[in-house]
Amino acid sequence: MAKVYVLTSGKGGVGKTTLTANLGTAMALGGERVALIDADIGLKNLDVVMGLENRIVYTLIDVANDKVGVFDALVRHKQIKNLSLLPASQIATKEMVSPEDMKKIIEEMKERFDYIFIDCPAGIERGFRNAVAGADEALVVTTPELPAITDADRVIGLLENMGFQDDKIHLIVNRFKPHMVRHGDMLNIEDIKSALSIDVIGIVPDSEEIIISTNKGIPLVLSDGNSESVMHKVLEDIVKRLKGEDVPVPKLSELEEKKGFLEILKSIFGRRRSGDD
Amino acid sequence: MGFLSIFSKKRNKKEEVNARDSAKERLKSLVGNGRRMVYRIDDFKNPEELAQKTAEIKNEIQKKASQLFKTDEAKVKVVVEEHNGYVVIIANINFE
Repeated sequence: MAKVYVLTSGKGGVGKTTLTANLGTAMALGGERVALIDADIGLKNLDVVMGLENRIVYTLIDVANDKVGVFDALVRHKQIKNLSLLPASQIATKEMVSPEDMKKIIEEMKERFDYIFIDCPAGIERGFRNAVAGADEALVVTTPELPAITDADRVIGLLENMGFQDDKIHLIVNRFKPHMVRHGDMLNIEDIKSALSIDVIGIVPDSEEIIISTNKGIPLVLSDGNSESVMHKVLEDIVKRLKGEDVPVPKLSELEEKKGFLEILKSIFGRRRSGDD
Repeated sequence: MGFLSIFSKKRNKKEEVNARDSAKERLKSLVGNGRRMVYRIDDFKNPEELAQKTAEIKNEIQKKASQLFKTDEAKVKVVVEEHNGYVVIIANINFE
């Protein structure tokens, strides 16, 4: 039976979709049978981040309306055969699916997968309720800024209200900038943790690699040449924690990419050469 | 004049409020230290009575909507949700 995680935040643009894609892919690379569900009906993006947008035939709406079975709508990943996506529809609205529909769909999927990750839409209305309905645990994503943290606080309150116990709600701090924390320009992890009073399961540093991989439609954990990067390690460690392994949360210094002298020179000259201005 | 302005700039910088401290203070006033509180309708209403009334409302809407739109009752989905003390009723009619 699959364990079901919903990635939620309240605020939009904090990286839920990118994290869903990367955590799901990293989990699948470890040999687990993984399904991703795009619950952001009307504003779907997960298929684009996964590079599967041209392979969609049926969507979540077709499944909810009993037009097709859930396994007919799943899109299998091109390279990783144990990774599938249940895409959302762009032309539908969130009201066309109910929390009961979601529960039914997820129950059916649970038997064939080990892990299911649900990408929740921004907001706390119907889309949120749909996405959360069938989940066992929640990964609340925030960035280290006040609007995102206060929205995360609101979402945690709603999750508790819906019956999620404290130990089933985990926090991921995304787009963390260690150098800003060092200069006293950004809240540190302890500040965020004490404000939200939930366990931090991952800290993901801000990275240009994510933008590049998203534009390519290849999750970062799958892209070549990055296997030694901090981002890879951070994402893989979150996956290990989700599996129940005891992996310590990284220190500030461990979240920064260590650059050698040659790499620094390369980045300076490389940037100059490719600059358009 | 230019020589003096170097020192005045340095003095001003020292007086600037650290962004982290400012954010921490504002976060404390926004979120507080305690647990967040969200009230549910059944905190105020008897849950059994609420469930019964909800089922009645759902049935009525389902019947009425299927009559009005000349569609099968099974194609009318009615969901009643509680949003922070408000009842939100969503009727979804599938015309396919």
